[in-house]
Amino acid sequence: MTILDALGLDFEYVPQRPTLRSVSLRIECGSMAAIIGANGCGKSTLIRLLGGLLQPKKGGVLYRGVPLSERNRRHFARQLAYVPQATSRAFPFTSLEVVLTGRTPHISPFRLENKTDVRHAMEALEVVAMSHVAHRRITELSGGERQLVSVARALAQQPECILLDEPSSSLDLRHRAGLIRTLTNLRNRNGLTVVMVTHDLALLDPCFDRVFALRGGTVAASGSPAEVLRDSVLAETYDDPHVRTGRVDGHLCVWSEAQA
Amino acid sequence: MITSSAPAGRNGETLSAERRLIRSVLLMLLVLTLCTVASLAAGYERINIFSLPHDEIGRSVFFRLRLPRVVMAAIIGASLAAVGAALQAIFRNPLAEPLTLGVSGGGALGASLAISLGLGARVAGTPIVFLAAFAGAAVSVSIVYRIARTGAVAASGSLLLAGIVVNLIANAGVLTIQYVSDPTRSLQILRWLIGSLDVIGFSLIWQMLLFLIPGWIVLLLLARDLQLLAVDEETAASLGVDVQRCERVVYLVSSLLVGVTVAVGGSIGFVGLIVPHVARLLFGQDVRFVLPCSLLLGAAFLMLADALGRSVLGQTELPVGAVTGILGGPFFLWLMKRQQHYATL
Repeated sequence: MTILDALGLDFEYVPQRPTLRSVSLRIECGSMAAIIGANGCGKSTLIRLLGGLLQPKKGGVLYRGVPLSERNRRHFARQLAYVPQATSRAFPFTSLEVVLTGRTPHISPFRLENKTDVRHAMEALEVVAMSHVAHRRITELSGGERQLVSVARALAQQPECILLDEPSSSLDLRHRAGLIRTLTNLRNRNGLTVVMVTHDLALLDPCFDRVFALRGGTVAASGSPAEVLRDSVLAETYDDPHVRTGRVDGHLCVWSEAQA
Repeated sequence: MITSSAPAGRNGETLSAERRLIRSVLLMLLVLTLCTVASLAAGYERINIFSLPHDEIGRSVFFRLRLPRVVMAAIIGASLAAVGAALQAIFRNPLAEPLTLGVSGGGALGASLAISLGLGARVAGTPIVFLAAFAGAAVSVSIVYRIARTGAVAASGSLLLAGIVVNLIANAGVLTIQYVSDPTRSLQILRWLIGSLDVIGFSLIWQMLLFLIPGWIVLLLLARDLQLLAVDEETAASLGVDVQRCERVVYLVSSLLVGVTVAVGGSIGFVGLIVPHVARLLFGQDVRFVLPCSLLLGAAFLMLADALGRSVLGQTELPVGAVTGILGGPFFLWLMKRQQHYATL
């Protein structure tokens, strides 16, 4: 069953300079999909459109068959969560306070969070192994820790679909793999649908079901990781003839040769 | 399960958020009551409350002058502090306040224009000055916002810079108006610019409350959205906040509140800056706490500042704007030094 259906999306930030051109893609319920591509190819724009944070110039996004524009934003936030690339740290909120904002869609407008909400928030922090920073201020956390707190906030929404925009860009080796493992577990256990913009190509196989390769604002290739993560496809996607792929102990490795 | 290895929240995590909010508001109401009593007692003319029933002059001074003045300080302080808390949240900038964002300056320009055109012969008497100040404040907030938001997000630096420049332009405008106006009106503008909370009777206060109370209510209703915006704008949008609508409503309401208070009391600085920070020191960062507590604390703060201004120099009184500046400026510098996370901005 399809959960997200993008139909011919056109988008431009500046008139006459299209960021996305007739992008169509379909995400299956309970699947894990990755969006890859070179810097500035429109990945973040695409995931924002999928989350309804931007309105397309042409085309539309259906969530379970209903256009995003017709959905109540607050109710929709119980179904779909979005993790931005970076978050503000103007004020020294504690991690728990940040994660608790994820409970908002479940709390009626004139109430504050109750004990159950605090429990959900703490559990979400535990899922990403960040419960030890619950009472620390986000201004004192490292970039990677803040990213995981942001993921915990999205999980506290208890969504059925989560969109992540480069959630692992500041994470170390262990936490990158750990995040994918966490998301895979949630998919297997709760049927969570995952859509993730990422540059961690080596982590996509075999956890991810589908990879969409963007190039210049259009979908250049899509398919299973094995189909997309090939020398020829990646060389074109990243416009880089030095891209190489290989397998070590059955694990996919992708690199770009530094020496010409 | 809550493991509090790190220092737990100042207020103890055992109380539910709603109970903590009620407790905080009650505490602030207590502070407000104490400050009201203190400010009613302060002043050149000593008034004994218990002799009021048989002291006609004392009664007249108390009900026609002292009480209205204290109430005036309270409603202006509450408005400025609440607007400060809301602007800080929506711009995600702890240095935002009506003065630094040029809202007060714009309001002052609008009001001066109205006075110089003779639209308010008795400066405080007519709501036309309110409307002019409101329009001035609204124009400057929209200019500042447009300049600061050239990219996808409003940048802190350009925001404050734009605010300061708009303020300078507005000040220059006020000076020009003052210069070309005839001497009586020019003097009116000058006296109004210094700012005073002097008021006789309650009629002006009722007129102001007609604008202020709806503004307070709207800001309080937006506290939750503002909390989400203070944490992160994109996240707030993904959680169902209509960011643009919320921003527009806050600008409009801020302009209204600041416009009306500026039109009556002149531009009084620092209240919108200090009070929300004190509320944060007391109750934490959560805007749902900071906003209502700032409203009450702002009232208490300006009442005290005015009481101080009335009593410290004997028969002459210090304008309240000077008191808030003298108290507030150093306090704010101390706060900045104490809390490094504000100093980085």
